[in-house]
Parts: sequence; structure tokens; C-alpha cells
Amino acid sequence: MALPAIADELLVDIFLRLPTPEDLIRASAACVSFRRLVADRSFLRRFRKLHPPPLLGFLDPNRHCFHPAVPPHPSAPPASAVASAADFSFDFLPGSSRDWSVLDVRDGRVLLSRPRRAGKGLNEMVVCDPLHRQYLLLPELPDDLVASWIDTLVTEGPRFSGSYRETFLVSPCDDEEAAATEETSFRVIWMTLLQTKPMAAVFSSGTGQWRAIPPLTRSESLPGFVLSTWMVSFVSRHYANGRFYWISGSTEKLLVLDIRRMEFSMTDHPPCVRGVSDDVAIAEAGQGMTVMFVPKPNTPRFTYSVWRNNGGSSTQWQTEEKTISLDYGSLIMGAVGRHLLLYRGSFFKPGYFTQDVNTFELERVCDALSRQAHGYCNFPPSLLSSPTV
Amino acid sequence: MATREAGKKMIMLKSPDGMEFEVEEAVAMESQTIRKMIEDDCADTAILIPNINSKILSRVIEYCNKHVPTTGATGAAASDTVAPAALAEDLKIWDAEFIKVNRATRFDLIQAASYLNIKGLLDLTSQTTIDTISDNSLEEIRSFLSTKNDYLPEEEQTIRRENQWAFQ
Repeated sequence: MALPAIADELLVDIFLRLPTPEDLIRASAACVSFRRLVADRSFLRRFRKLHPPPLLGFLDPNRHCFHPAVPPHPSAPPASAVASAADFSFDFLPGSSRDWSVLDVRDGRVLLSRPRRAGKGLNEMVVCDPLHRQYLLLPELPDDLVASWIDTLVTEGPRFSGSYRETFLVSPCDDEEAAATEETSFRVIWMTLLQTKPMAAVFSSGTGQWRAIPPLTRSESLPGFVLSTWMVSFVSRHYANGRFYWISGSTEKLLVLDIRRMEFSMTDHPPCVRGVSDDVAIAEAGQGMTVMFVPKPNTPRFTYSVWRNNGGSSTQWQTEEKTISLDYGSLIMGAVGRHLLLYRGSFFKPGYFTQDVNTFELERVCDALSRQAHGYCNFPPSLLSSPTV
Repeated sequence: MATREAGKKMIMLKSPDGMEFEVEEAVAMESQTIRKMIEDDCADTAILIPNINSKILSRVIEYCNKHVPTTGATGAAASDTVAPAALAEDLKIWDAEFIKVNRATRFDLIQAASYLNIKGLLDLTSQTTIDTISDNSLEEIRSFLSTKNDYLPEEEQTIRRENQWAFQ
């Protein structure tokens, strides 16, 4: 008996629920009309919004090479497709690829910098998409911003000259602006931590321009954050649920940047003791919950207490009974969504692992060469991936 | 035709093939579409459910009967004695039995769940389709979704070549 065809909107509903990109590709290969539904730009946008791009492997910033996920990891097939299609040696960038240093990796994009020819001024920066071999050179920071930064440096004096400075990628905000410019919309933040305030500017690919981010409005200083000059060397950046967090050696306050509103604020550190040089890990626990892993002092360094914060309604950190412990020779390199990215060595062949922050399930991604690597998440070619720069 | 029976408000649902089903209002309101009709006061007499034949409608009602939150005298007693986890487990087993139907019926159920806007039933009926796509060959997907391969041979080759990794 011939069955009546399923209505397109029902098929769309079903296709949106498919768990992985390969399921979607297989469904689209069934017949021409399925392909038409799936290849529709607004469908793909909805699918990408519901399914974050999978972690495909790790990018070694020093060797300019990509370590794709290997079996039995579920991302192994798309990862090997990306590894063979992409250029992670960055030969497609202008000049010699050796001059470029990887600063950050996010949403399939890589931010790199190189010294300017004349040796003057701040480094030249580029955002590229290694899979599609496209890039965008960023314009120089506005003169007035640089001038005001240098003025403050001079005022604060040389004792703060080792101030914290970094440039990093930011996801587009999921609003009309991002939808209008399709998938090529991204932002880059240049940020420096002065003794009294953060100073920052954001580049938006939509406008092609830098604009200054207002410093903290309510307070003119960073009380409870930068306690002394030397503590600046222990500042680190973390991301979860639309917020960047900076921690310092202090256990009083965290510096927060809300990327939707582009606003700095200060929030409380979880009420616990932490070694000055111990770094935390911050990840997403689902439903807007942010979870922080804080190393316990006076225990082996790799035992972490777990703190949860439901973001929106309260900024209070709630502690949990459970702790996580890492094996000797392991370290947390960062987090992507609800997964901690781990380097595990010593007892076994060194490898990169993910650990689910809710189930604590460990999954091996691939062998590791270095303790420094960026997680690389992207949709594999070709149906779901379009140029991101 | 809304009547009262044992203190519960009843609603009459009519299928296009002329069958009538008297169901508790709470059961009918598992469907967001019917809930809206009732709330908008469009449900004084029997509600005609277009495009859903009596066979499918009776199955949908069976589903809603099972999934309506248990309230009232008998319902409260049941939930007092049975732990919520056990209830959920019981429902899962019941759902698994419920969905053991042929493909034609399953598609009719998907369409019905979509039209009547019953989220649980739509999730249940779509999941089988999702599992079929995830776990089966292209031929089986086509046969399950009753569609034909209408690609030109070279078009299919291109899709397979460009997305080779997805077919491994």
C-alpha cells in the first residue's frame, strides 16, 4: 500500500530532531525533496541553533596542526573529513604562515596575530576559517583607544607594565543581526586589565569596525580582584552561557563580561579558599546553569570542589557534595559547552579527553602531544558547513 | 453535548467518519488544539476533528487517557502509593507497547499528534522515525519514509562524494 507522503512541516520537525549531522546528511540523500528541505538556509540555521557544532579535535597552537578525534569517539568520521579538507598550517594566510601565532579558536574560526612589518604598534590580527581557507584581516585598533590606553599605562607607572592583555573570539549573539548576516558574523575582543579597570574594544564583522566597550560603570577600580601587581600573572579567562569570566589570585571577586550586552561587571567568587596560582574551570551544565570547578587547597592539586550558579536569577554559587579528582599527570585545559577538556598523561599514552560536567563521563578524543591545545568545534563539510568568515 | 458524569466534565469528539467519542475534558485537553477550542468557548457541542479517522482518534484518546496527570479521588490514591519514578517507568513501558504499530498507523499518529498538538505523542511517534534514520541504510530510510530515490545517478554520486564520511 502506498502511504500518503508526510507533510513537509512534519518532516522538518522530525529532521530538526535528528541527533547528529550525519543523520541529517543521510536523510537528505534519500530523495530530492528531502534534500530541498534540508538544504534550505533557514532550516540549516535552525538545525545549527538546536545542535551545537560537535568537538572534532584539538588545534595545537605551536605546531600549527590539528589532532582529529579518532575512533571510537563518535566525532571520528566528521573529524577526519575536516582534517583532510582544511588547512591548519594556515598557508592560505598572507605572508609566511610561520609569522602567524594562534591566539584563539572558536566556532570553527581561528584568530591569529603577527608582528607588524615596521615593528611598530600592536600586532596585526586575522580571523580565518581553515576549512574554507578564507580570512579577514582586522583593522588597527582606533588611535584614540590606543592613546588612552598608553596614557593610563604611563599614569599607573612601570610597576603595572606587565598588565594582562589578550585578544579573543566571541560568538555572534543569536539575534537578528546574526541571522541577517548569516553564518559569517563574528566578534573579536581586545582587552587589557589595568590596575583600576578593564579596558576593551570589540570588533564586529558586521560593521567591520572596532568600538570601545564601556569600562565598569559603578566602580572605578577592581576591588577584590586585582589585589597587587604580581597577581596579574594568575589571571585567566573562562566562558559559559554568554559570559566571559576572569579569575585572579584573589578569591573575593570575578570580573565578568556579558557578551550580549557587552557590559563588564564584578561578581562574587564562590565562598571557598583557593591557592593563589590555582586555576579554576568553568563550564555549562545545561538550562543556563554555570558550573565552576575550584581546586581544593591542602589536598592533592587535582581535587576540585564543584559550584553551581543559575546565572539569571541569582549570582550565588551553591556548593555540591561531590568533588572531582583528576589522575596524577592530568590537567583541565578548558571547557566547551558542558564538557571539560582534559589532558591526561603519565599512566597511559597521553591523550585529550572530554568529561561531561553532569555525568562525569570521560571520553577519549585522540592522542595528545602537548598540554597546550584549543578544542576545535565545527560542522563537517559539506552540507552543514558554510564559510564562517 | 458536554455532559457531567461522576462529577467530571465530559467532551464529545467526532471523527469525520461519523464516530463519536465521549472523553473527560481533562483528557481531551492533553491536546493543545482542543484545549484552545475549549478555552475559547468553541466547544459547546461535539468537537469535529477533521482528517483524523475513528481508528486513529481512538488510539490518540487511548494515549491521552494514559498520560493525563492523575488527579481526583482515584488518581490521588494511585499517585500516593506509587513512587513517581515507578510511574514514569510504567508509562515508558506502556509507550513502547503503544507505538508497536505498522508504519501507516504511525504516520497517521504523527500527523494526528501534530494537528492536535500533543507534544508527548509527537515526541514518541517522531522518535521511531529518528531512530530509523540514525540506524538504517539509505534504502531502509526510503522504504520507511515511503519515498523513492529520484536522484540522477550523478547527483547521488556527488552527494555521496561530498559527504563521504557520513556514509561510512
